[in-house]
Amino acid sequence: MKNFFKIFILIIKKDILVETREKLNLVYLLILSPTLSLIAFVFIGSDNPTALFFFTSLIVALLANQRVSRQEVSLGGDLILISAPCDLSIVCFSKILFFILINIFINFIVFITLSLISEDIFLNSINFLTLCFLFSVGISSILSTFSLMLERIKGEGHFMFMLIYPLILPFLLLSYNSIPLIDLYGGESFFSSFSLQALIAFDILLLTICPILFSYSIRR
Amino acid sequence: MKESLVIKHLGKSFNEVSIFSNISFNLSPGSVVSLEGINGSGKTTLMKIIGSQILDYSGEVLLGNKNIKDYGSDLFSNIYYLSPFPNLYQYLTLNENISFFSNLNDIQNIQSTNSLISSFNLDKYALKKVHELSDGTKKKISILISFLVSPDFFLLDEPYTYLDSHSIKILNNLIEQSSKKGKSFLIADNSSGILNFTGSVGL
Repeated sequence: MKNFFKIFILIIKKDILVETREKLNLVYLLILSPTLSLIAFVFIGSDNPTALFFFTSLIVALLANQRVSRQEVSLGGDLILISAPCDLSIVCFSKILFFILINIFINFIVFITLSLISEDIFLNSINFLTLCFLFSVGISSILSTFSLMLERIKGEGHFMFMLIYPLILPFLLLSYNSIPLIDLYGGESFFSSFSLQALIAFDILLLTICPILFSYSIRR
Repeated sequence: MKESLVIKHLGKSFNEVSIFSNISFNLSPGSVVSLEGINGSGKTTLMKIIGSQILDYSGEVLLGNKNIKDYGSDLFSNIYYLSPFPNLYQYLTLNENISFFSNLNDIQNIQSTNSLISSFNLDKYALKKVHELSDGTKKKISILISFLVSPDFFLLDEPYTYLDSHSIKILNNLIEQSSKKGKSFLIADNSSGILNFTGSVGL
């Protein structure tokens, strides 16, 4: 367990150090997030700014994740970690946490942009922040595992993708169903709603199953 | 007593085109074996299979009577594949890269780390980011890391590429010293005639 945390922190520290030093992804996100927020605002409309926020965050997260994992692979970083004498689930878990941090940054930029151009946005901030966090955890687990697997798996490994697919749709539906509840319910009712509780359960499931699936599929 | 690495009837094909087939040989403790073959003959592929980078192949690779597919991540402490292209984090400094790999592989011996850095004349690059360094220096760092990990079996894929004559001498010395301690080497390099091999495998 001590080794788990040691390697986990080592990989996270390395990723943050590289990211802050290179700054390419941060600049990319600083440009992409407001641009897509504006495009979504103009073309989809401002009837439901909270839904618009999550939709924009999802699209930016998809593009950012692809970019981050590509960079790791093009520099041979994936080979370093996959050949490391440690459990691959640690590698996957640390990548998920790193992408949660990136996702929080994306959410922050999209929030600022939409707040500037939209009125009466996000009335209940605690509910909104809770949903933001749960959404970030789930989407980071799915996207990080997917992109890591896509780069490494060939042949029969594709079967593993099919195991993750059934988990994505309920996660997105539960997130979508939780959005109207942010403004509808006060704190306690929001937390006891079925959608939110099921979303928490799915987050825990994804955080558990994604590293295991990744580890199993790469080394089998 | 250290175990041998046994390669039995190894074969690999891409899109139903055979790259090589029925390759069998032993890598016993202390041996330095040359892997020979023309470009495209599958030297890198063979090394990647032995180094567990490629898992889809025919035949088997045994380490101490146990198939390498049955090992967990601890296999990578015993077998180390050195890629022809240095796999380093470009935006970390030399010191940060070495520290990362040392921690990842749980290497405690700081003294041997420092002596390896000095022997390759890398002291002056300690605080430089890897992307600012020449290809030869990057190669030296990769080699240095492989010797820090100190596995029982080294799979060196074109280790001499980019190296100057001085660095080649240092590398050959390291190989000779390590083989005396029971470490085994499989080396694929068309320009490695300077080293005294204990055997060779042709593809």
